[in-house]
Amino acid sequence: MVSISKAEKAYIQSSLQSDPPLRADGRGLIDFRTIALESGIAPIANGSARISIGRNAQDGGGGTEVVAAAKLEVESVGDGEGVDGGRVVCSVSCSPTAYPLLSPNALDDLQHDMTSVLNATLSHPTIRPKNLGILPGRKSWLLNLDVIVFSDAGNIFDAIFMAARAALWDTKVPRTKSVQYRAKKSDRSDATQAMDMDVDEMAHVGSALDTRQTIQVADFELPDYWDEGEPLDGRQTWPVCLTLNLLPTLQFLDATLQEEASVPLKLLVFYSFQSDTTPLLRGMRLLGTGVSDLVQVKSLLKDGEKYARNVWVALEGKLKDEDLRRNQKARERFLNR
Amino acid sequence: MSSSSVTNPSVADETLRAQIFQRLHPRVYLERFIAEKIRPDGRTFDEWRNVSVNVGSISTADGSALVRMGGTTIVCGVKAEIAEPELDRPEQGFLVPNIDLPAICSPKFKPGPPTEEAQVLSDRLNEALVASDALSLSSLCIHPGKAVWTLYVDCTCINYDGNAFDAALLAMLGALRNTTLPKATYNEETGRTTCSRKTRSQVQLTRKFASMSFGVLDTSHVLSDLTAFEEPLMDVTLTVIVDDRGELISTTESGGAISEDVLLQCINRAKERALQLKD
Amino acid sequence: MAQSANDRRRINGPEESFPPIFDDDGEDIKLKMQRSRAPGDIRPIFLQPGLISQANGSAYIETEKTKIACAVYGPRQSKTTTYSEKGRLNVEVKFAPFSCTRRRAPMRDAEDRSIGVAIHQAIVSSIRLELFPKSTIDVFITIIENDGIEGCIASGSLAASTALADAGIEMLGLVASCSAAIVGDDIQLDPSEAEARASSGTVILACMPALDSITSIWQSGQVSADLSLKVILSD
Repeated sequence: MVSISKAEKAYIQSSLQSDPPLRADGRGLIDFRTIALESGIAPIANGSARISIGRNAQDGGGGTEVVAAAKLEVESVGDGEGVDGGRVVCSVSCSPTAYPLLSPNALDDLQHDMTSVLNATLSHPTIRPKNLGILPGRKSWLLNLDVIVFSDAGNIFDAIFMAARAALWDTKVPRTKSVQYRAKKSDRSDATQAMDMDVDEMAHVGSALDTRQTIQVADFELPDYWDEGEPLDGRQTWPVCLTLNLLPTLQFLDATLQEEASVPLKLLVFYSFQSDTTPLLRGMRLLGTGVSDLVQVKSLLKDGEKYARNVWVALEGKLKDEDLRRNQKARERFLNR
Repeated sequence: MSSSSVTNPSVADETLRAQIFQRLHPRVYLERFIAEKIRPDGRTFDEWRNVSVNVGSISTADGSALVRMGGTTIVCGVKAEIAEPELDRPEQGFLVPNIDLPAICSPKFKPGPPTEEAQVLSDRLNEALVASDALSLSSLCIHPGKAVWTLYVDCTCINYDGNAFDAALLAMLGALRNTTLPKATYNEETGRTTCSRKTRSQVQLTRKFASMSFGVLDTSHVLSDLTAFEEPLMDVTLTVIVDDRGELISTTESGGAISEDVLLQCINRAKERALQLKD
Repeated sequence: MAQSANDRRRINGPEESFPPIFDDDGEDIKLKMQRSRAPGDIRPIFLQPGLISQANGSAYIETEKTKIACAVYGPRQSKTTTYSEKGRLNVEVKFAPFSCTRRRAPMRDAEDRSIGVAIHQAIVSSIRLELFPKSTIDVFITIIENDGIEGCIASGSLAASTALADAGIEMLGLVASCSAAIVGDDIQLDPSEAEARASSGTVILACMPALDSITSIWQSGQVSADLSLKVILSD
């Protein structure tokens, strides 16, 4: 997002291509900057995470910073956009301070583009978590995943997907209990679940049902329980993104803004590594004005898979740590109540 | 283009000069043609461009038509949706005609919200459809007070070469005539309307009609079916709508004043043309 | 959209209306699902340049149900005042309101933009933008009928490239583009909307056959890496 002069561009390109390759911050081509991750940062959301790449260790400033939060909403299936079994909708918004040089319109477009990449990958039906349904054919959860970019110091897509993965990993789906009403029985109070709900209201719900339908589950309730629900299904499926920045003869990872401005082409690959299956490529996008060819793409995919696995393993380790830490906290809180 | 100079070897050069002249002095350029009783595209004053109508080619629409009038190309699609009628008119459906002049159709237009020209055109088309009472709105009723059909009649201009109004009206009427609606039943118990996939019925139009637009230059020269080049140069533009029996439905005029003769001349030309178009 | 309800620039209908609900939805979808072509066959393409007389270049493409018109205006002066050494390529996609199963409110939405971005990516590297400083090339695309977003992007790119050639803009090569869907272990080329919905993943590839180079790859959904390569090969 920065514009750099031709000379600067040539300088960055030639030092990347020199032997050994040189980067301004002294990293190797496939080294990442320091990544910091914290999950559960937004208590009101069902799952959240903050990630920063390359934050300055001394003063905590600089770097790419992204927050992702998931919020669940009940929606009815059938009318409107609701889908049986639930759905995931992502959106990315960018703080204007992250891109001070962009006009509001250009910022809008950028948000659109990022949203469409995130949506195409995470909202795809093949990756939909299995526990987003509430009442089959009637009610389901809508998972809104909102990602906010606070600052962009390069490699924004990797950051967004890491934050998204961490937030989804962190997401708890509230437990629901179906409440039934048997319309055909004469005894109106014979609901299967004992509950403190208004029986009259339930009867009303029951009679509004088409009598030909066999579905009798009329509504659901949220049982009170000490934790916030069960983890969102598919923790292993949310992919990580890896941006391969391409110069004619080499590729490098985790580019800074200046480096991004000096490469003509980048390839985004989205991988997920479920245990004991072949790694799944959940998306791939070529961005930029350069061109590639089949041979290059083939080798990039192979390398990309290797690098992405490293990111995946590191992220997974961190997420498990976070889990432990958070559960610990939650238990303590519960005990002290 | 204008002066066919056989003696000059560089005809291409001449054409280029003519084009530059046309861009710099469009009015003078046109006037020189008018003085010769001919128009820049070779038509006489009262000659119309070829019209072709192709209906029902868009499967996602409930009815559609593609109209070409010379260079002007307009696609119209009808989408039927179900809505609750207004309280004071419980048995009347809705007819919602709109035209879009997107950036694709002419360098004049920019992407974004509808231009003034598009707004005026939409309004005039709406008026024409209402004034002529082409479609009885009560025929769109499914269940009084509960559910009626709403017909969204959307035109998109693909190529804008003048006289979009006539082409759009033709496209709208063509698309409406082509429209079929599924048989709908309102279920009082559930308050839902369901439609059958098998039975569809045609939308009934009450009458056939067409509009004819003219431009008047220097109070006396009346040009039929203007092109995009001629349109902005006219002093007065005039639209006459007549039905297939030659009855006058409406006339609209904008710009300066015109004499009665000119108006009558236009109406007569329109009637003649309407008879031609009848097939 | 709240805004469209009282948009005074258009003729407005009732406040809300709903597309018809059919009593036998299931049957219909099944009927549509059957693919009559072999997996490796694409839909027949009708492509004609120079349909829009007002534009510098244009093309119309039809692949069975998908119908797309494309016009190129420019290179013309950039509106923005900032100097740019290279030309700018601007791709805008618009859906006609009647182009989809559901009526589209005449508002620009995210889908228009993302298709525009995809087509931009497919064609931008084929154009010699360095020849047009300070200018903009506008590519406007209207989707008249839509049968699958993937198909729209692929045929849109093809139409855009044709229209650019028709406008006499210097290019390194024509861009060809094709989409594919992965259904089970099969790779189906050029899927329709229903076919793409039934698939586990889709790939859209754009390339310049003359230079043997790839200009764009968009893949979404679940595909193993090997399979994905196979898809690219078969495109």
